[in-house]
Amino acid sequence: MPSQRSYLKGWVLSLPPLDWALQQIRELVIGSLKCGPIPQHIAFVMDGNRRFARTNDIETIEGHSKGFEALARILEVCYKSGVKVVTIYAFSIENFKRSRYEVDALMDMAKTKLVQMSQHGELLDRYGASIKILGDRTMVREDVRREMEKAVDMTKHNESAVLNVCFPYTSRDEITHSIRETVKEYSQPPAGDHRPEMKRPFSESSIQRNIRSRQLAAVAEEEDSPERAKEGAQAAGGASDADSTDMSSADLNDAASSTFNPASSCTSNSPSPDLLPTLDSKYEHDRSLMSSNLPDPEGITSETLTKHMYTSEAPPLDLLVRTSGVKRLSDFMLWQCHEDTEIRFLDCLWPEFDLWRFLPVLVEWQWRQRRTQKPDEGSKTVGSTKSS
Amino acid sequence: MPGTLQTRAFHTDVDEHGRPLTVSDRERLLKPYLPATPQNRSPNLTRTSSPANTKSQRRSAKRQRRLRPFIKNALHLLLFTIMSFVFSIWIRVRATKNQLWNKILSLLYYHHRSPDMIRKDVSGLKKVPNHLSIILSLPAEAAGEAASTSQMVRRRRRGSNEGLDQMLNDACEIVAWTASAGIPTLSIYERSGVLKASHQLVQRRIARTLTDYYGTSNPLKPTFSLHAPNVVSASSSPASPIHQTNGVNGDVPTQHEPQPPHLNVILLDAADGRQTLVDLTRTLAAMSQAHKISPADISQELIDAEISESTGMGEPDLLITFGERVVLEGYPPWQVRLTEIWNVTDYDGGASYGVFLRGLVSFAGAEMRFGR
Repeated sequence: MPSQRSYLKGWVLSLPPLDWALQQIRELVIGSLKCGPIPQHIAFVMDGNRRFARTNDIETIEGHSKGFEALARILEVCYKSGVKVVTIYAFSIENFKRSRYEVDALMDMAKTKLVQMSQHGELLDRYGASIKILGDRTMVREDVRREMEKAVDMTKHNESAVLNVCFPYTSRDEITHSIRETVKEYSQPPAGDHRPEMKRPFSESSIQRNIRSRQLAAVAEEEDSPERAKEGAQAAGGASDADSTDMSSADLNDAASSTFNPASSCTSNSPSPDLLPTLDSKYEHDRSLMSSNLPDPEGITSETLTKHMYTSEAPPLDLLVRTSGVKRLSDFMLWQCHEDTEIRFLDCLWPEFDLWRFLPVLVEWQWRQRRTQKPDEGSKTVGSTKSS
Repeated sequence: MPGTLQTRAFHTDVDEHGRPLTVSDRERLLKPYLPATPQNRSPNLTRTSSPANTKSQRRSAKRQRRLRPFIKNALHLLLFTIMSFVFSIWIRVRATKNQLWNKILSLLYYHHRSPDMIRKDVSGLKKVPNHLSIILSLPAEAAGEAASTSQMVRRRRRGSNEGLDQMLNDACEIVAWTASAGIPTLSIYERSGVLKASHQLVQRRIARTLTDYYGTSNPLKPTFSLHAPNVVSASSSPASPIHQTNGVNGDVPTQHEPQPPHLNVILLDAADGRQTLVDLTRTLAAMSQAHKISPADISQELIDAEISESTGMGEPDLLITFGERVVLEGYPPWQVRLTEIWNVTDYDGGASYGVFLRGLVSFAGAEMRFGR
């Protein structure tokens, strides 16, 4: 009789002394975990709520709410042991394909939990946890979105821990979002360049021309024709004056002028001071200006993309846990976990997940961490630069 | 974590007398289980202790505060040491057990370099992946990274040569197994890109291994083509095959004979991971700057199409790693979305047929669930 046994077990566990003892043991275990290294960022795929409901003959939505309780338990363990960021996969964009009834029920549950959270904001403050919602919020029902924003707003002053809730989320959507944002950023002139044209008293091109005319003068002296040299210098100086008035605004742009000045100085090595090269370079200068106002796309690196991911503020992902024995990522944290993150697939269903099942994972992680860092301390920095 | 009574009260939202809980009731229930209020809280949140506190109470609290954390810390450290110790024993036992089990399996299921044996092993499976992917790593590199002295560096260099040879061997063996299992596409990922850099060597070695398995004049000997996306030396478009062999056996199979299977081998390295996405972003940014596209045009479908075109591969169905734990080592992120990831816990000894076969078996038993 499983139900009778579980009832008996429940009754025994609810006896005050036993309850107290269990509580003390948990605290002790969590406290001792803190003596070792602790992952800074853990992600969970909370899989198995529905299967749990099926095997235990309860409603699907009941399984989900059991899952929520398991989440609360795990979050407590994480935050008490010093994990900074916990990311959970709450709802996939693909989940919208499920039955309308279940989607609605899930949304209602999310709303209820969010409302409860807003009622107990002070309790969340005790953990110093702030909530962040990752994903495309526009896909969510209006009333749920309002509660989401309320919860985020209420906890945003907390800084010691973060709970990232991936609400309607897929990783491909996130990567697409990041690429789009990066492209947007690179399609507009950077904010720094937008300040109104600041007039500097010196223009680089006139300095350049001054140097050139001096060189010309020197060359001319060698050729023993001072008059010609003087003419040349004057001509060059005149040109530079004329240029500097309409180019001073453009001279803010360092890249353009520096790329074209070598060319002009190169041509000016010829003894006859032609005005043609300067005119030429001016044309090029103007043309290049239009495009060079924008940042160079070659400047985009993987860090740029990382910066535009939803998890940009979080430390690198150390550990990704998926329950229920499914060995896939299912479009979760692809960008974040494909480098050095340890991925663990556990066989237990999410509602059964608790401290005692989580403990071996954490201890094994600590054990590996110690083992990889023991050989020499120098490799640690190599590893961290590689992962960042 | 709250006790069972409190949990039940929370779950049903009524207290033990059947009255519905109010907000303050819930907070009262939880209070004993919460951590202490942090010190660095804004003043409006901290609870000022009641002024009724007498002096003696305060003094005893002070003494307790000094003594208690000390005992607690010592206890924690003790338990931590015990836990780590027990765990390190346990993990060694587990590793030994797993390795033994793997040995037994690989003795039971050995391929004897015979495609027929492999085919027999696979024939009982409900399904085989269409696209198999594996992660190989240089065995010496992990040890070499930790080395810092010159002696170690020298050893590493020699080790990495041996390691490279070993890895090449592994790759060729896996190609032969994959071909024998009737899987049409295989991608081999290796982080540093040595395999990709020596693709001509890989080409020759694969041909030789296949000859070893099938013999020189077997009409069923599979043909294969080798792709390496984003290789600089490739003059044609990046996805085009660098080399194509139409069966090294030379004699053209006549029409009535069964067509030999064809295996598509793709070599990948870290540059096909993030870097491809970065390159795509650069291209898109340049196009956007030239007003050829608008950022709003960038969709998941567009990226998917571009990425699969440039790497010449779709999403793998099964990814087998031969490490002791699952770490993707920079494997292309876009493509692993739904890939089943297989590894054998604690196994760390290069490619093994046992691991390979167990991966296929596990894949056949897994149900495809995505979104539904």
